[in-house]
Amino acid sequence: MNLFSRDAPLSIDSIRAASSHISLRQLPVHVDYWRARFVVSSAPKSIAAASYRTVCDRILFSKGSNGVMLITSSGPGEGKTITSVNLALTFAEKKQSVLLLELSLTRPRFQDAFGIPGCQKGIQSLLSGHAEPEQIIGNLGNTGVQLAGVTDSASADVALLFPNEYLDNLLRYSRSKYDWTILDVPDVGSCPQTAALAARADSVILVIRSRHTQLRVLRQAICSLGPHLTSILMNGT
Amino acid sequence: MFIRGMEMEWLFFRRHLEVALLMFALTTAGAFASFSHLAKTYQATVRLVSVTPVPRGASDEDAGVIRQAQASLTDEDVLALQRRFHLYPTWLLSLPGSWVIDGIRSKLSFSEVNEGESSLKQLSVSFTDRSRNRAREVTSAIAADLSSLPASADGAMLAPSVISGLQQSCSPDRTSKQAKSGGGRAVLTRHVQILQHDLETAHQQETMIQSGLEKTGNEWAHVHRELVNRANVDASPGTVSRLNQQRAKLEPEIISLQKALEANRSQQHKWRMELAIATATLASDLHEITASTQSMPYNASLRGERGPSLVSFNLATNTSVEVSEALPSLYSVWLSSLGLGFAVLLATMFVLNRRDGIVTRYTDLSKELSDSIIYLGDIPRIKL
Repeated sequence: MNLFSRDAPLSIDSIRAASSHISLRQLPVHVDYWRARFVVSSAPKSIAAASYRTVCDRILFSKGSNGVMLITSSGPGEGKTITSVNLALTFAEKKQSVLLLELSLTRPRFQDAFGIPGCQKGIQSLLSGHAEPEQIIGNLGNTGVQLAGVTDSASADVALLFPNEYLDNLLRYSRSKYDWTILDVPDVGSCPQTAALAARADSVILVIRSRHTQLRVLRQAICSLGPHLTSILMNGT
Repeated sequence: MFIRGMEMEWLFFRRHLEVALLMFALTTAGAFASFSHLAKTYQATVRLVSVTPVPRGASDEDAGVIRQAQASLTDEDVLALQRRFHLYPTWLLSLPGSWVIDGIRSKLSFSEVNEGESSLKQLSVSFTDRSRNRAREVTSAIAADLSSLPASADGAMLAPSVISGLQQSCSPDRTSKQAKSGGGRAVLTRHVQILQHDLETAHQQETMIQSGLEKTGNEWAHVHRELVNRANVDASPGTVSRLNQQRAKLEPEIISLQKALEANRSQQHKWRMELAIATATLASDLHEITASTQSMPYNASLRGERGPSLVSFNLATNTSVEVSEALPSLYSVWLSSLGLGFAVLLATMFVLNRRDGIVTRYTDLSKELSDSIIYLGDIPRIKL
C-alpha cells in the first residue's frame, strides 16, 4: 500500500493506519522517522508546530501571499526537508495552496518519507524533459499540500539543477497554479547550483541548526547566496 | 563569555561523545599510570646470612674461639639446643610466590649465593608502595611470618622472642651502646673465654673426682671382697667387725664423690650450652643487629646438622634489610606517554573548536548578517 497516490489522496491518519497493519519488514524504514518529525500534522499542539505557524505568519507578513521560496542550509543535516514539509503543511493549514518540490537530487528524502513508488515519474524526469508537471505532482493525503519528488535517484544528475528551460517552465507553472512553491534544495556547501537556483526564487531561507552549524561554513554559505538570501531560520534551539 | 566558552566545550562533547569518552578513559588511564609511576616501587631484600662454620671476616681469634667451642659440642648438646630454642623448619624458604601481607600483594623470591665459606640465603620482597618506611614494615611482617612456623626435623628457624632471650643469656651486662661501639663484641668474646676456662677447670675437677671415685671404689671393693672371704673361713668376730666398719666408712665417701661428679657434669653441660650460644651469637654478629636501628631483629634461622663431628651448625639471620627503588615498568611509561598525548590532543581540539565556533543562537550571527536579512525565528528541538 503506497502512501502516495494521485488517485486516492491519503491523510496523515491514513498514513498511521497504513503503518499499523504493515509488517515491520514491509514498512519503509523511514516512515515513522519522518512522520514523527512532521510535527505540524503529527503533533499540531506542540511548541515546535506553534513555532512553525509563527514563522509562517512572519513570512506572510513580510513576503506577501505568494511566491517561490527556496530552503537551503550551509551544510548537510541541518533540517531542510523537515522545515520544507512543516512549512508546507502550515501554509496548507492557512488555506494556502502549496507545491512542495524536492530538488535534492543527490539525497532525495521524499521517496522514503512518503513512500513514492520508484516506477513513477519524478522530478528528475521533468528536469530532463521526459515529463510534464501534471505527471509528477501528487497530493500529500488530504493536507492540501501537493508535492513532487525524486523517484529514481540513480538517474537524477545534479547537473539537471543548472537553470534550464524545464526548470523555468516548472516554476512558471507553479507560480500560476499555487500560492506558494517551496523548493527543497541541496545545501550550499555541497551543491554550487543552489546559489544559481536562489536567483530564481522570490525568497531564500537559510536554515541553521543550533549547536551544529559551524560559523566558518555559515559565513561561506552567506557569501555564496549573496543578496538573494532574505531570511534565516534556526532549528533545534 | 566564560559561560559561552563552557557551553562550547559541552557542545563539542555532545557532538563527539564517543570520541570524548574514549579520550577521557585513555587520559584517566594515563593519569593513573603516571600516579602509579609516582608511587615508586620498592624492593626490600632480607639477607639471610648462613655461616658455615666460621663467618667470613671473623678475626683469627674469633675463629679459634668458635672452632674450639664447636669442637666441644656433643650430640646431646645439639639436641638440647634444638629443644630449647623451638627450632623451625627452613622448608619455607623453598616456597616463593605471592603473599598478601598487610593488604599489599608482595612477591617473595629466595636465592642462595655461595661466597667462599659462607652461603648467603637472600629473601627478596618486591612490592609497590610510596613509603620507604612501609617497605620496612612489610618486610618485618614477612620476617615475623617466617618465624612463626611449626617445628621440623630438617632445619630450624628461631622466633624473635628466642633471639632476644638468647642475647640476654649470652651477655646480660651488655648494653646497646656498648654493642654499637663494639664493646659488646669484646664482652662476648671475654665471656666465651671465661666459659672455656671454666669448662677446662670443670673437666680437670671431673678427672680428679673420677680418679678419687675410682680409688675409693677399688678400696671399697677390696674391703668387701676381704669381708666375704673371711666370712667363709670362719674369721674372728673382731676382724669381721673391723672390715664392716671400713666398708661403711667408704660408702658415704663414694656417694659424695658420685654426687660431685654428677654436679660437675651438669655444670659442664650448662657451660657448654652457654658457650654454644655465645659462639653462635659471636659468629652471626647478632648483637650488632639489634643494636643497629637500620636492621631488624625479627628473623633468624638456626639449622643443626647431626653428624660424626657435630661441629658445624649454621646460624642465619637477617643482617640487613635493603630497600631500593625499582625502575618503573616500560608499560607504565608507555601508558603515561599515551595518556599525555591524548590529553594534549584533546586540549588542541578544544582550542581549535573554540576558535572555529559553533552557532548556538541568533545573536551569534549578529555580525555576519546584514540588516536586510529577516530572522524568522527559532524552531525548538523536536522531542520524539
